[in-house]
Amino acid sequence: MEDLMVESKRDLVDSFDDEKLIFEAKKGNLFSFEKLVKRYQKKIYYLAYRMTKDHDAADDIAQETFIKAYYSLQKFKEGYGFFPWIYRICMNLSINYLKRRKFVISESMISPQMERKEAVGFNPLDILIKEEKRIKIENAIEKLPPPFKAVFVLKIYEDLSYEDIARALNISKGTVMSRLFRARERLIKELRGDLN
Amino acid sequence: LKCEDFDRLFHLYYDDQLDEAASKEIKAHFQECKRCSEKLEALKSIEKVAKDIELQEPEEGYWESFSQRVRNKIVLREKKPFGLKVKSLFESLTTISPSKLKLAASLATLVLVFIIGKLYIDYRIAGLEKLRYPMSTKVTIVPPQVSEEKKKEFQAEENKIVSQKKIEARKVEKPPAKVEKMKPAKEVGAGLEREIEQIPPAAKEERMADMMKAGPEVTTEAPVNTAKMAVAPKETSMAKPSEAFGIAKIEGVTEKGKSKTSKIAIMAEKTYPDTTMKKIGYEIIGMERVGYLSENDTLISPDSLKKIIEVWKDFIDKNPKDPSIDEGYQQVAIGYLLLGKITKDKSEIENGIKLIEKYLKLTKTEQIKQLLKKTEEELKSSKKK
Repeated sequence: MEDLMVESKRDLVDSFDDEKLIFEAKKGNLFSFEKLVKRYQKKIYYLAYRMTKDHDAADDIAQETFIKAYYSLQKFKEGYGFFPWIYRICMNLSINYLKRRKFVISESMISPQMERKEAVGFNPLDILIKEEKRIKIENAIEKLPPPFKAVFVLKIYEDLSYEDIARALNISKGTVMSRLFRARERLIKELRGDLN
Repeated sequence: LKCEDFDRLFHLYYDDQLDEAASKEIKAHFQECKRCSEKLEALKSIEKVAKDIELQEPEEGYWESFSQRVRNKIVLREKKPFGLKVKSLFESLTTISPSKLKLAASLATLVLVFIIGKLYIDYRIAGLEKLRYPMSTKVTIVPPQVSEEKKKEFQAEENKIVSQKKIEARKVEKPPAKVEKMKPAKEVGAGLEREIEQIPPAAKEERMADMMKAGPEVTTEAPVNTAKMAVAPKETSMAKPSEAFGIAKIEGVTEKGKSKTSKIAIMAEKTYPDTTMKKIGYEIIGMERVGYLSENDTLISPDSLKKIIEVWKDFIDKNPKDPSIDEGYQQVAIGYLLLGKITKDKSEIENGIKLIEKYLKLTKTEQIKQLLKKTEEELKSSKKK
C-alpha cells in the first residue's frame, strides 16, 4: 500500500515544472529534488567533465553541485531559472577543483577515444591526422587557466551569450569578453602551426 | 583597418557582436590581409574541432543510479553525527588549497619580518649599549690584605717621614727636605694593583687607615663581570681637592665571553686636606665611563663623541707629561674623525684639524704622528666633500 502511494507521488512529481519542483523541494520533498537532479544530471556532469576531463572528478563535482543546491535551496530566488543557478555552482566547483589539482596531462586521458574512432572505417591516415589535431586542441584547451577555460567551455559547448556566461560565473560582461579573447589568442598562438 | 585593430575585434566579429559597419570593415580587411584571414580560419578550425570532440559516456547504469546516490548523500549528511561533522571540519582545515597556501605564506612572511625586525632592533640597541658600556664589566677594587708585620713596617716608615718633616718645619732657615718616594702600594698589599708615584705622607696615613676600615670589596655601579683595576693616579695635592685625571685599565669578559682589556679615563681619587678619606674608589668623569674609541664606532651618538673628546682634551691639557698622552691624542683624533663622519659638521671638522695640528707638534712618537697625519688628511678630504 505504501509502495503504491510512493509511486503515485512520483508520477505526480514527474509532471511538475522546475519552479513547482523547487517549491516542493524547499518544503523538504526529496522526490521533487530527485526529479530536478534527473532532469539536469547529464548537463551538469558533462559540463564538469568538459572542465576536468576526468570522469571521477566530474562525477564528484556533479553530485556535489546537486547536494550544494539542495542545501542552498532557501537562497534560490524564484524566476531566475534553476539551471543557470546550478550551472554557476558547478562551474565554481570545477574551477576550484582545477586550481587545486596538479596538472598532469597524460595522453592516456585522451587515447581511448582515438581507438574508438578508428573502428569507424575511414582512411586510417586521415583519421590519424584528424585525431592528432583533436588531441592537440584538447590538450591546449586543458592547459588554459581555469577562469579562461570556464568562459571558453560555456561559450563553445553550451553556446551561452556573453551575458549568460557573466551571470553563470558571477563576473562582468567585460571580463567575459576579455577572458574569451585571451583564451582564443592563447589557443591560436599554440595551435596555428599545427593546424596549417 | 590595421592588423592590430583586427586582432582586437575579430573575435567579436566571429561571435557576431559587432554592428554592421564594423563587420564590413573587418570583412574587407581579412579578405585583403593573408595573415588576418589565416588567423580567423585558425579560430574557426579550432572551435569546430573542439565542438566535435565527443565525450565518453560513463559506464552502464551510471545515470540510473546518479540521482539515487545524490539523495543518499543528502540523507547521510542530514544524519551525520556531531563527531563526523567535527572530523570533516578538521579535514577541510587540514587539506591544502591555494587560498590556504597564500594565507599561510603571508602569515609566515609577517612572522619572518617581525623576527628579522626584532633581531635588527636588538642588534642596533646592543651596538649602542656596547659603545656606552663597552665592557659591561664589574669593576672591583680589592683592598690590600695587610699583614701585621708589614703594617708596623709601613707605620714606622711613615713616622720617620713625619718626624723628619717636623724637624724641617722647626728649621725655617733650612730648605725643605725632599719628600721620599713611597713604597708602591702593590708591595704593601697584593690585592690592590696600583702605583703611587708621589703622595704626601698625611694623605698616605689617612689612606692606610681607610684601607684597614674598608670591607673586603668595594664595588662600583657597573654590572655583570668581575675585573681587576690598575690605576695610575697623577699629581695629587694636599692644598686643595684635586681632580687630576688618570687612566684605568679594565680587564674583563665581554658578554660574548671574549676576554678584553679596555681603558677608561677616570679622575684620580679625591684627596681632602682636613678629612680622612671615607671612600676608596674612583670617580669617573661626569659620572660616566668613557668608551675607548675605534674608527669603526660609527653607531655612537654625536653627543657621546663630544663628551669623550672633551674628557680626553681635558686630560691632555691637565696632564701634558703623562705617558698615556699619546693615547689621548689618538682618541681625540678618532673622535673628531667619527664626529665628522656622523654629523658632517664643517666647524667640528675644522676644530679637529686645528687640534690635530697642535698635537702633531706636541707628540714625539713617530707612530702617533703618522696616525694623526692620516686622520688629518681624512678630515680634510671629508671637509672638501
